[in-house]
Amino acid sequence: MPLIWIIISFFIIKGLLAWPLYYKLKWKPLQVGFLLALAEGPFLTLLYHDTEIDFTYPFLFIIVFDFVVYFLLLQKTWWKAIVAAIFFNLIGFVYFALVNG
Amino acid sequence: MKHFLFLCIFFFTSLSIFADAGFSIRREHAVSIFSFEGINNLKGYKLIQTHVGFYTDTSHKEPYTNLGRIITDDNYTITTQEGGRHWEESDRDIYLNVVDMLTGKTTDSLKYFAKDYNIHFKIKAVVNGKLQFTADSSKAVYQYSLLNPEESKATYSRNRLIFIACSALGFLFLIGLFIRNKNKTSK
Repeated sequence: MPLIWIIISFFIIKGLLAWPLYYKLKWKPLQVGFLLALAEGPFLTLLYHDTEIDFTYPFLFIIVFDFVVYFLLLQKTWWKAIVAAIFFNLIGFVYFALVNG
Repeated sequence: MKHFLFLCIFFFTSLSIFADAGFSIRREHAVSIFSFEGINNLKGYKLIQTHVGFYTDTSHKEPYTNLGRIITDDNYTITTQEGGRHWEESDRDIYLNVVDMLTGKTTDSLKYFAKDYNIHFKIKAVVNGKLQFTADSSKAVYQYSLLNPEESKATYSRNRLIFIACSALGFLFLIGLFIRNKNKTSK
């Protein structure tokens, strides 16, 4: 999948879909979502095609990483961070597996 | 309590998806490209690519192996994609046969395992039915693309570096945001 589409789709999932949870922070969820997309999209693609690693571990790492990012950078409400990290990553992972499978 | 139940549902849904979502799908890796030079030196003989395997791809579309063809000129390439939904293990084996054009009999045969490497054949001649050649190999790179999948083969290595750079840049900016937030809260 081309780089531009990975970043755009991950931004939609991690930034736009997460925005209703943090709408009071205005544009900041979008900024964090874009940086998450920029960091994780190409990283997962590289791991997927260049290594034989079992993808359960990167996915668990990404969920924990997203939780930390949402919790520390956006709002210190743990349930929102857990919902965002698990639910939006699930959508992201299924999408990732479908387009790269 | 309401939040706890909500989170439990998410957690168990995620576990079920981990078990099923894409982990069993074969992952695409670098494409092995076989190219040829000096096909004109096969005087009186022809080189045929044949395929022996459980799976036969009749579409002849790249990047899956193109099968059962006469290699007629130096532009001919064999591309073997490892992984993907239609891929089988047997697709990695590349069979090349040298056939005498007068008798129609196979005088020499080669078998190559197409994985991780690109191979460039330089054919010198055919002596007593045996192919005289050298084969240069180079590391295969996955076809990473930036804007569309039709990009030139020459850019695959550069694209891989851009993927790494983008990812590093994203993580660096996130670390920058963490530091800025920490400084703000400590003031």
